[in-house]
This record gives sequence, structure tokens and C-alpha cells, in this order.
Amino acid sequence: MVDPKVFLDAGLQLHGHKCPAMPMGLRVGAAAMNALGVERAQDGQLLALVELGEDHCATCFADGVQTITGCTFGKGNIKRLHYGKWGVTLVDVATGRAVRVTPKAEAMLANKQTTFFTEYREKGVPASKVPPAVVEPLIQKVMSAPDDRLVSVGEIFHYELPTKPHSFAGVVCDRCGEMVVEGYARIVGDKKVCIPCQEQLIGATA
Amino acid sequence: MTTPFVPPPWAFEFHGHRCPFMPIGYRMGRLAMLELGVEREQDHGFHIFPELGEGHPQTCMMDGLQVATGATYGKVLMAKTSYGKLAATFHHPAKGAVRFALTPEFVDAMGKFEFFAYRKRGVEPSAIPAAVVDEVIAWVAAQPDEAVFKVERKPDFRYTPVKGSFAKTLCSVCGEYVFDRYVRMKDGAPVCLPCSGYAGAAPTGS
Repeated sequence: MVDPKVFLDAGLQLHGHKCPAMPMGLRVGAAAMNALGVERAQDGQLLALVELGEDHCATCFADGVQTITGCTFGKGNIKRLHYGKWGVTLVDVATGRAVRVTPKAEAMLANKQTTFFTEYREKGVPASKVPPAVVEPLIQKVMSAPDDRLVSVGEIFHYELPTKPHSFAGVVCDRCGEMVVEGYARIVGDKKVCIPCQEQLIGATA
Repeated sequence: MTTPFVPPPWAFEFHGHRCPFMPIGYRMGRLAMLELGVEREQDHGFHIFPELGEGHPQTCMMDGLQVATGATYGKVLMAKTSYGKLAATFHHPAKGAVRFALTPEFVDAMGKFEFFAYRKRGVEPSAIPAAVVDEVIAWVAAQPDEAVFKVERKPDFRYTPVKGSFAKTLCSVCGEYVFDRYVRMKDGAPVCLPCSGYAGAAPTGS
């Protein structure tokens, strides 16, 4: 069993400020891992599909998911679905076993109605400038609430994974002399170029 | 010379495995912060535009960038341009922008290490013998900054909308026209997206 409390310090260190959304990501990630019975992903063993968008509050949630599941932006095994929701589908890549876990709406609403949001964040105060006395009880609440009050865990289902081998082929851009992965190289006239150089060349001739 | 910018142990724990690219990203991030004169970002005031794409292995760099700078995926401070290049632009509204790119010479020299022979056979980094991994990590750390990175200040950096173009090219496989922005290269010849074999990530979840 994965214990989200073990990952709180690591999550705060990565994230950079105290807020309730990152810990919620730890809790949801842990619930999904425990439902599947999987370990943290060292490489690409797990895939996390997060339903977040990019232009709303509590995207910080994804840093908690990264921290606990090991599905990181760098390794490319966390993807946004842009639904503007906080559900997470965690997939065990080797077997395709998957589960969707979401914070309960009541738990999200309870967070939103605290002074952390109403008196500080919604008035434009950065999270790092909110007094610890305001935010720390909120974090403790998220970290200590029982699973059945905080999250909904779906049935385990089979997720069909697209297979896409990694490319090691690269070419040197004829315009800037930098390396570019072959599939991202573009052709302009008789030159093989990278995307920004293509933009420049097309702009010059359009 | 050995770089002072070596990732702390928690960075490797976050990332999940030991590989050369996470430390390269960490070092790039720390150097960019020095260049711009910024501290690790607690809130939402600093952006990174990595030029990496998907489906190539060097993306682990971005976990090093997250750890070093605090510009995390969760805080939506990192947006890939998907140029498929080993570079990133760092932007702070008050301090300007700087771009770091890996030099082709460095990339080529690093590619000769045994670590990559394992990776090309499909062995995940966590399953590669520690001595093989440590060898390439130590070599990278010993390379001087100027051999690893090309550094450019970007005084004119700003968000730029895509430029329109009427230029088009015949796909060498299906013989249909494709607008140049979408032309891809396969075996050295121009092709359209479907003929390139590209299948978008487009996870559907449930």
C-alpha cells in the first residue's frame, strides 16, 4: 500500500508552495495506485491521464500526481485531457489495467469555501504569501481525511494503449545547425530545417 | 571541470530512475536562473518553453528543469513547443528571456556511451546496470558548460502567433498536396502526416 503522507515533503519541495491542491493529487494518485496494486513508476510503467485543463485553479493537483505516481512530465507518462476536471485515470502499462479516481465534489467544494481561496487566492495573493496558519490546517485536512470521504474510486477496466516506439534518429538543421529529431524536421525547398527555422523561412517568402 | 549543479538525491527520487538527461535539465535550469538572476519559482511568475516533443528519449530533461526552477507541470509553467529539439527558453517578465540548446557535438559524443546501446535495445533506464548509468552521468558532469550548452539572450522574446502561408508540397508517398507547415520527412523525402505514420497521442480515457 502506498501511503500519501510519506510523499508530502517531497511534493512540497517540488511544488514550491503550500496549497491544498497538490496534496489532493497525492491522495487521488495513492488511491489509484492502491486500487491497482502497483508501485511508483521508475520509468514508464504507469500512465496517468489527468483531466485538468491549463487555465483554472488547482492545476497544482498534477504536481501531487507526478510526485506520488512517478508519472512525470519529463518521462512523458502524464497527459492532460483538458476536461477542466480533477479525475485521474491511472494505467498499468504492462497489463492495460486501469482505474479512474476523482476527488469527491464535496471535498473540492469544502476546499474552495475556505479563507485560503476566498480571502487570499481569489484576491490575487500568491500561494507562497498566504499565512501558514491559514494553509497548513487545510493541508492536514486533505492529508488526514478518510479515503471514502475524499475520493471516488471507479471499477478497474482495460485501457487500450497505443504503441509508439521512441525515435533515436536525428538530423542537423541546415539553417541553425542544431540537432532536431527526424520526425520533427521540416523541408523547405532543398533544406532540412527545424520548426522555428521553417517558421522564419516561410515568413520570409509568404 | 565538474559542474556544481548536480541534482540533489530527491530529484532522482522524483524522476524515478538515474539517467543522464534529468541531470542535464537540472544543470540547464540552474544556469538559466543564474543568467536571468531569478530564484526558484514558488508561485506562477516564471515560464519555460522546452522545445522537446514526444516519442524521443531525451524528454527526461524536463524533470530536471522542474526540480531546478520550480516551474512545474502542475503550476502550468512549462509549455512544450514540440519542435523536437534539445533546447529550452526561460522567460521571466521582469528579467527577460534566455535560450539554452545542447550542442550537436556534445549530443554526438554522449551518444557513444554504452547507456544508449541499452536504450536503443529498449531497456528501460531503471534496468540498466548502475555502472553503465553512472559512467555517462559522471562524464556529462565533467564537461564544461560551454561544451554542453549554446546560450543566447532573447531580448525580443514574446508570444508569437503562427504566421499564415500558402506554400504547399506534394507528398512523396500519396502524391497529394500538403501545406508546408505540416510536411514531415521520412527516409529523407517529404510526406504528409498520415503517410509519415504519425498517430496523434489523443488518449480517450473513460
